[in-house]
Amino acid sequence: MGKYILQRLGMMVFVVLGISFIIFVIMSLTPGNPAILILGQSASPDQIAALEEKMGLNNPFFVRYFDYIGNMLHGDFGNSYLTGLPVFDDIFSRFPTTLKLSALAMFFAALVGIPVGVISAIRQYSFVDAISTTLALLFASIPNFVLGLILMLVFSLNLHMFPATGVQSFASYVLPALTLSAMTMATLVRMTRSTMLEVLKQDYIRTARSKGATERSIVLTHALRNALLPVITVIGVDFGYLLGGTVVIESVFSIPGIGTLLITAIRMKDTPVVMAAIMFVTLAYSLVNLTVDIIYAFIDPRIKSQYEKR
Amino acid sequence: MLQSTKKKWVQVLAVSLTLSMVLFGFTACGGSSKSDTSKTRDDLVFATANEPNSLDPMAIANMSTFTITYAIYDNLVEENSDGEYVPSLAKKVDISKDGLTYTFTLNKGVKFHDGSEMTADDVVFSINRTIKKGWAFDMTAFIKSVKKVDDYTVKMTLNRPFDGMLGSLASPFFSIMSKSYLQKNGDTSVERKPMGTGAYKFVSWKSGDNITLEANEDYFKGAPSIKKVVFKPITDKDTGLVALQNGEIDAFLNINNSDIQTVKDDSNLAFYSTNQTAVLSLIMNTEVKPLNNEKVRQAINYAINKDDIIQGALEGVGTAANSAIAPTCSGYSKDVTGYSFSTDKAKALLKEAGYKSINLKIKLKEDSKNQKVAQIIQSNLKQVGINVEIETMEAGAYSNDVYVNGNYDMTITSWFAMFPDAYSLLYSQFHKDCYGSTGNITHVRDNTLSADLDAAAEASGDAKIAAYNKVAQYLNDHAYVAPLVYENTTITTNAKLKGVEANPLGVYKVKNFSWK
Repeated sequence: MGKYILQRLGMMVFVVLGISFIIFVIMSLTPGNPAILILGQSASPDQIAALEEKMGLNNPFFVRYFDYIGNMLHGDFGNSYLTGLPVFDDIFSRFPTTLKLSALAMFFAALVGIPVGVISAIRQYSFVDAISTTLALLFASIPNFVLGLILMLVFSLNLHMFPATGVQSFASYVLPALTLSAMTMATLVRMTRSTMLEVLKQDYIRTARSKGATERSIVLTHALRNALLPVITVIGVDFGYLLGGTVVIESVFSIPGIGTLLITAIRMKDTPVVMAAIMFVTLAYSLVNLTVDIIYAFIDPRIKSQYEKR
Repeated sequence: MLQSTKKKWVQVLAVSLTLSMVLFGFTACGGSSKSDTSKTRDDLVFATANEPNSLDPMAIANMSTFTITYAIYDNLVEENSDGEYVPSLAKKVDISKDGLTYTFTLNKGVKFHDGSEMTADDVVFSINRTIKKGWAFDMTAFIKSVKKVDDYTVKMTLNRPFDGMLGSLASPFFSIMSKSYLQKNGDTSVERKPMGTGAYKFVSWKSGDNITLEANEDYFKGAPSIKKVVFKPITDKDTGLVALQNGEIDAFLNINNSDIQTVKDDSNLAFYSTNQTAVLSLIMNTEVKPLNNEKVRQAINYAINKDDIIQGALEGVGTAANSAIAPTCSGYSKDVTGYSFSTDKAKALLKEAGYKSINLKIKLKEDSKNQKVAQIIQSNLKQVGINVEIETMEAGAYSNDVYVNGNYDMTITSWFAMFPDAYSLLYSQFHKDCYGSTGNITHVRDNTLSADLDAAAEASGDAKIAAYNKVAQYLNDHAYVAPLVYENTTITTNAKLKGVEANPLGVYKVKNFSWK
């Protein structure tokens, strides 16, 4: 098992490096000159040329790429073209905010999504089932900035329960996290419901029932554990969506996270920030997926043995 | 239902309820609402349109950031509420009869926030820095030299008279900085840690979250009433409105036009509005066929229905433009004849020019308001046989095409003046020396126009209005641009905030605000 984890960690390094190369290529190919963006349109051609030289923008592509990777390995992610400050500092201060937001969103999604999915499955075709599947469809379809604004109007403006902007307290994370969780929550409801339905039809469930197990132990112990596998996969995959989906939410709720930093950096061709931000997100996402894979091992002994076989 | 399932359901419900109560418990302490103010507040939360990219006035990319620098820095002179330029760091300004020599007598004992005294050295240093940085070239072009006479006297010599010199000196580009601070900490230090003489000292900048300033109790004009100012970036206008109504922020600029009535009806909020020092215009690349034909450009001017634009794209807010000069800029006159809407005249002109149908492209930066404007223009021009395609581009690509390479037919922008003077609006856009990325993207190289612009810059008083009248009329007659709408700039604040006035540039002096 330990060997498996080490192998996965090794692969993660390659993934992050691969992503860094792709992003570097894309940033080099898109139009827009960082020197002009920094100096502004009224700068003279001489000033622009001087800055380009200073920033090393005239070096060949691979020289620039390997320079960057070399520095990165020393922990130097370079300075932002826009602010001149070390990139690492800015990302380090904003990344936890985005992570907290994504984690809380995932928590809400699972907290509501899984139980509702289970209940829908147990009471298939009942009123509860109908309501929850309809709401799931609604949450999956509504654009998240619309949902965000609605939640803001109802819970912040009218009911004064939560603040609308910023991240001063735990309360400020609630509305944005709820908004962010909507899509995943809907997915989890439907996913849990369908896997539970399938599992409940299995022979071993019938066996358990005939052996006299209580309905509760059947659902929670026997059925849920098997149904959870695909659900946990969804959680892992959706975490990536959540990390990326924070951009709009951060904009609507004025949250200083990685999303807004990344968008501004991409627009201004602030390559060091873009590179570092995307690599951090890639790293976070890879770690979440690794965690999900490890959790599999604990839920399903068959998978654990597969890991150990390697 | 089975007893066990019912029990299970109750348990799930119980767990969810408990968790929700825990959550609400957190929120009870967290959710702050500033709507009840039993004692007078001494802080202000001011929303900016974007996260500032820098606090160095010479490096700022967004107009709203200048509100922050105006709080931290002072200038030699400043504009008062009547639009006059009154002493600030300079207690006296003597201008020679020929308008070429400005002598500034500085106030003594004015301290920078680090305790050092502001003297002539700092003034000379700051002005020379502004000249070197190049951004304010249209203002610094008039300055021949600036020299220290003694510790409290500075002499500035111009190479031509310039009526807008005081206005320029009052603009953010001429903020007075500390020579010793910059020399000790490096030129870029002021981007994140500004050092000024202003009413507010810089305290902290939490990236993406807020910039905090505190009152300078030793401010030479008297400590400001509000003791702490927090600037928060809020990009979404709907969020801005909610935050205002919630009491989370005290001031927000340029709310959605559709929300103006809501704000006016809310007794907790106050709304201020004035014309912008910018003109929403359709810019035509006069080097591209058939836009190089004056009759075609005139036809386009006639074909556009400005009222449609105001109603359709701007929610009815704004006035039709008659000239390329905004009403709040000195030099503006109502007497300049613009183009009234006439499809017939447009068609006739196109026929004279020999065109039956024309295909043109409008390139736009991602900006939803101008999208609607473009669509209306597209349908207006279709009526006269001009087929317009609208292309929306990412900012870097747009800048490359339109500004750097001049590779475009038409675009829609509002060029902002840095101080309320027709010079600041027109020079960079239409003078032949500013061809290309420095501002003249219409690519107009007209000697008469350039000479007239130069002459107007030197005029003052009634002669100035006459001179700019001539320029504006010339621009209209040759249809070098199609001015569309004079838009409004607004500020919405907590109704209890005093001392607020709408500012045409959208830049505010928070040192003048106070709480009722």
